[in-house]
Amino acid sequence: MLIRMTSFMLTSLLLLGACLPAKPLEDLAIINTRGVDIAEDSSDQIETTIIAYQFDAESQEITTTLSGLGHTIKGAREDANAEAGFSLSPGQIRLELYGKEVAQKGILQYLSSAVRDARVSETMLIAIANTSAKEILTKGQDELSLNIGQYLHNLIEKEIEEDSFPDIYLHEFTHLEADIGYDPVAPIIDLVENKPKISGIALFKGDKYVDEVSLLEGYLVNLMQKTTRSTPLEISVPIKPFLPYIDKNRGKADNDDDDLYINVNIEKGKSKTKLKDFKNLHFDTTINLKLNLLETSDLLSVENEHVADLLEKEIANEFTKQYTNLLAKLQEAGTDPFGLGAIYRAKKMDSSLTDEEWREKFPDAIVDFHVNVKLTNYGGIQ
Amino acid sequence: MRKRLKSESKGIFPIKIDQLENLITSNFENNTDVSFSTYEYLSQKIAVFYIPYQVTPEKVENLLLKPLSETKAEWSSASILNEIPLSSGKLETKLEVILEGLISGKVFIYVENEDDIVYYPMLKIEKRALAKAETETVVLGPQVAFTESIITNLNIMRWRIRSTDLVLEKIMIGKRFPREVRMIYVKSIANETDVNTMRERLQELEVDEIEDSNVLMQFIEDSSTSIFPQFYSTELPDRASYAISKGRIGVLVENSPSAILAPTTFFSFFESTEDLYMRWNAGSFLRILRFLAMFVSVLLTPMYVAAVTFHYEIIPPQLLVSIGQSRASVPFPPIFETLFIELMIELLREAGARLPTKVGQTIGIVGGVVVGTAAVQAGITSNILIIFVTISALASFTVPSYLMGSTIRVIRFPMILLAGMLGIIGIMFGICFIIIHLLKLTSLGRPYLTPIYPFRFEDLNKVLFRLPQNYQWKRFASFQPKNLTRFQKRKANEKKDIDE
Repeated sequence: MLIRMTSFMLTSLLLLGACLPAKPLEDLAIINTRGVDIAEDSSDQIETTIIAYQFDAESQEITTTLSGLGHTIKGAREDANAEAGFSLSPGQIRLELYGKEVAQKGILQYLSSAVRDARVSETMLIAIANTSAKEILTKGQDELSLNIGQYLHNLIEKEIEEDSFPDIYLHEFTHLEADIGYDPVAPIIDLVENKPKISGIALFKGDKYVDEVSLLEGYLVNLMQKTTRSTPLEISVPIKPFLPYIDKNRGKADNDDDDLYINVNIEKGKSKTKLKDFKNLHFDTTINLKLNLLETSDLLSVENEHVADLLEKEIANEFTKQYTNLLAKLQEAGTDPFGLGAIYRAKKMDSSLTDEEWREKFPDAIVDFHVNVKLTNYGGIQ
Repeated sequence: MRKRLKSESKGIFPIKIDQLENLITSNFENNTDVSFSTYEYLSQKIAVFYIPYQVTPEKVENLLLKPLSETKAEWSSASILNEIPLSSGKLETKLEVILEGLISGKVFIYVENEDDIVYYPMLKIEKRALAKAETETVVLGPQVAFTESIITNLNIMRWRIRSTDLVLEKIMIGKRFPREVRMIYVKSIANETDVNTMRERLQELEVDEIEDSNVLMQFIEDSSTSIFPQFYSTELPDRASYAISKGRIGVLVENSPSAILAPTTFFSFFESTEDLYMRWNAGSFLRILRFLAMFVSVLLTPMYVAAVTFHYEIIPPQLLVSIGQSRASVPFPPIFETLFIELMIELLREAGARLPTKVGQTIGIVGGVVVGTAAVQAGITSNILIIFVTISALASFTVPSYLMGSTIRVIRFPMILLAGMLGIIGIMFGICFIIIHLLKLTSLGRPYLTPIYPFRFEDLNKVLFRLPQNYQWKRFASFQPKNLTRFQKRKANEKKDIDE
């Protein structure tokens, strides 16, 4: 009995062992970052730029850049694979970078290929290249002398850790895209003196890129979606109310600027949006911010309680202004990353809301922003 | 006990001294071991015979021969028994008993024409002194180990557990070469069913000879085909006495320096006596560390093989580069690479165990440092793997029981094979297989995985971690001892204050 059992198990193990294709690490070129662009010559084809690790005993260089053309993303990968002596595999892909042109046409078909591939991590990041993905990846690679894919990944991940803009992992992105009454955003990467940098936040309407907003506005979008913690931020408030409290004899001598710039760390930011009037699409948003004042462009005597109150008031005003502007911009672009539609849908009878319906209604939405600011800390000296 | 010379089972006396001498010496064929001396005294012939190396010669001379020669009277068997100041003297008539007695160190005195023969047991046993434990070394606590002499071992057990409740049942095992076995338990605590099961297993054992307690253990275990030891074999008297005083059964075998403890759970193989002697928090930490070490030892290298062969997705990106780079120069598939290094470590270990201590250490250094570094530089293995293999080897050394340690060593190899063939699925197969097997195992009829399965909350604090001593007021309930309470919990928690 025992011998029969054992021999049965050993045989099945041997036979089953052949079912699994082995993928030894050293025979693979492991895709780290992929750029997707529209091919220069024929506009119905796409071009991928792939940054991959490949491990060769003879060479110290482990990162290679490959590119390929194809009608599908996998076809382009096959094409790129013709350049490499290793088989390209997407199991460790960290970042997918889309060219602006591709993003304007819509990126869902490329994302769905990534979503359906079980090997692709759900925590893959998505970003938009201000020019073409190829330019950023190849130029950046030459400039940085380190793996550009990993560099970009760390760059974006760090910002996400600081809650500077919403999470744009693959699953978040596709989830928001599919949600009715929610639109995804993604960071925009630009080359500044051949060095990649996050230059703004791309707004999507469905899966199509429509507009761009600044990083500060990216934070505002994030704050609408969730509670943020310790985000560094620089904002400007009108300098006029503070003029009596600026010590002219110390610090910067002459200041003809109209704005006072302050650097804060938003310890905790919380927002709550309610639908006040269903019919008129009147929303009411309360935002509570706890700030750490780190630096001001002019020397302010923050010990004065009045100054602190003034600061709080001015910052709140600034935030309200920013939010109102942002909302106008979003309504013009017809994209709703705030998720107002989701709140609307929740209030609607039988929750039936189609995408078209909301797109029609969204530009008429009114939001009252109430921002409460509390300065909790002025730094070590008080 | 089997009678060896059935034909001569009736008495041979009275007999002439010469005849007796012939009889004895002819039975020890061509063998001059028996010292047979005849004395004539007052026209009476007296024969004294024994095997010199089995007895203590000084004793024979001082206690037997001296009184014999000094007394001026006629001798008879009865008067010898009376006059010689030794209580252990006995009479005997059968030849086969005499022959057996000679072997087991008895001295015989025969007065010619008497009806029976007088003998005195004067056995001399060569034994070594008590020494430090070698296989189960401890930092804290008693260092003494059992020896090969069962007399010494019984003596140790008696002075460790000073109670009339302590039972040391004597059972002879071995049909051809019998050996004394002692079953030790505390009558008022040990579970009666367990005691009966153990007694039955020992008494009904059909075997010609048991070489050692570890051999006996394999004979009486619940499952003899399993890779897991089901009884604990220890050379530490404090461990044995601890287990026995908590209601388990100990078995000591003549000429064997280790005791068997039963019933045993899987987890007790990871317990060290030190856990008890240390503060409870440190003890708990070390015990949890040992469990972790077991998992690391069994799973680390298989996981490496699985990840590198099939699932490169699970490697963290920072590690991916260094693993990939070191793998690139290795010409073998990961499974062979890993088997090669694992086998090398096992070779080192085995060589170290066979060689004298001083040479063994050198071998360790040569093997570990020189061969390891050279293997990486020659591109036979990757340096990451060397780290993993070393960690898993280290982890396997943390198991206090040598038997369980070697089991874990062996299990690793099928796991590596499974990982190399089927990846993580294979590892899961292996783990499931082991767990199913462990669930089925019993130790003296008690579940092997208790108190995890069947689950017993009250016993967890004796198995997975340790509570302060005064909270451990219960004995191990899974084994159902007769008496569960060790001491009164409330009284133990009352702190004695001198001022009050």
